[in-house]
Amino acid sequence: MSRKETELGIILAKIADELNITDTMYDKAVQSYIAVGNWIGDGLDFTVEIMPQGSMNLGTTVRPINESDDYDIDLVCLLHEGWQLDARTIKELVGKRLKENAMYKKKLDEGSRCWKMSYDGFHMDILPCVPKERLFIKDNHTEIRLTHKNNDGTYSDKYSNPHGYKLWFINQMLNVYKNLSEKYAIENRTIIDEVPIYKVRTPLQQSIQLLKRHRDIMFAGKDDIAPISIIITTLAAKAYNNETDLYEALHNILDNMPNYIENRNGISWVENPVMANENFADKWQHHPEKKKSFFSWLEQAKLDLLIKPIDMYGIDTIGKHYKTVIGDLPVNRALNALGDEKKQARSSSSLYINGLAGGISTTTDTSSKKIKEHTFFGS
Amino acid sequence: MVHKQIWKKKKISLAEQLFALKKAYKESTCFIQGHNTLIWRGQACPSPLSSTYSLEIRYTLGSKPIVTVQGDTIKNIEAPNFPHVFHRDVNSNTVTLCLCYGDEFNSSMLISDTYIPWAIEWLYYYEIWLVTEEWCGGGIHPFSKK
Repeated sequence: MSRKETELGIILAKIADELNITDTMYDKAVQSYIAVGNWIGDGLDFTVEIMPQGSMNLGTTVRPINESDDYDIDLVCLLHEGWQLDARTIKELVGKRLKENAMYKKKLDEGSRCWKMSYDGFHMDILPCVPKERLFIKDNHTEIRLTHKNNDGTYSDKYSNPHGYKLWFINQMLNVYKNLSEKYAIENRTIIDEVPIYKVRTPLQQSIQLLKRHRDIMFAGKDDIAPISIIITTLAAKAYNNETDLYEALHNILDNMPNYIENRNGISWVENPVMANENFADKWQHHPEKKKSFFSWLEQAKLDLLIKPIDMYGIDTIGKHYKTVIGDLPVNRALNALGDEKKQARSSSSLYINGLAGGISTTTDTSSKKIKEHTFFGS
Repeated sequence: MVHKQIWKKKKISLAEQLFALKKAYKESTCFIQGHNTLIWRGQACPSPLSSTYSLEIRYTLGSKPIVTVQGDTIKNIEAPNFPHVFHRDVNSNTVTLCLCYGDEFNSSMLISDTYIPWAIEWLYYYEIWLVTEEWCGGGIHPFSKK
């Protein structure tokens, strides 16, 4: 890797960290969904467990482009003893109970599989479900049965395994995940099992956040053809080789994502790694425009995130370019954070220049000179 | 008397400054103009992703070194909040940098250890400022408070 590639990876990692959910919002999200879970549980004769699925469960949540907008949170609402209930009953039990709360009722809509609720700064998709078999036990019996309401008002059973997917996802980045969790645990004096996944920050998680934000901006106003997060996340996790450097990880992911799309008798297939025979790309068959937009997005992401900036000169040129493809706020915050780090390093006598052309850094070589403390003066 | 001489900081001659500059920055040019002015010119790059900038330092014994950056890589020269410069010349696209305050530099110090690292550091924050409009390097704005 060239020094330019390494440095670009550092900037991209900082931007990804600025796309990540904040501690305040994370804590608020947990409080909000626990309150929702308690409300449902208190009104039903079932043990109700509410838990995040999707990005919130994987540490790949991306802030909304307009930061005053609501965060999207996908939640599973499991009725533990409900394995014999039919689909309609599962959906309606949860919906009826939500409507009994005046606050929740205000902004409640029905989706084909979930209840959609806007509340307290979050847009929550609440998926009513029951264990697929008699008992739901982590980590080995976690398949769930969910409900799908058809256009004609009838219901079908569908199946999923969000907890299994989380374990699979962690396994795809296990080496790096273990090292970074351990590091976080030591620095924050906690135990590894209590490190929240959104705090781990592996290059896989960071890459997915950059890709999702790039998708959000590229397809703003064209949601219907935007590549869906589960496809991006699954293909990225399959392509990831536990690279520790973000530039290398993202490069490898973007190059190799298409290799994990199978062709099964002429049908494009992105297999759910924990639910054999489920195709995350099932819609591509009847909506070829979705498939097409996935591939055009992939090429554009490669160009915008890696190829164009590596040919540019100037943090300013690169920064302004990233603003157009990732958004102003995360790029400004990321670059200011890098600047602040350098300033702090200088104040603690650990910032150096490496010759005239080597740039400033906290690492040294034979041509290094320490930057003495000084005060920029003048207007 | 001997003690006093040990404690008193020794002024560094232009020849010594020139020697140190050439030794530290081999790819730069440096010469003494007339009797008492040293001129140094070099191409500097504040990070692997950065542009390359033409730096010049003009140092007359007894006064503060004058550091300028010149050329097309200097952008937004007319911005009202352009950071930490004494002077801007729009025609030649040249800015004169304000890199230190009070006695942070005196004639017993080497330019190669002070002004050049400081100028390169200025360039780094400058490139970030062009994107974010925030100056991350700290400092004092003498005219901002009335």
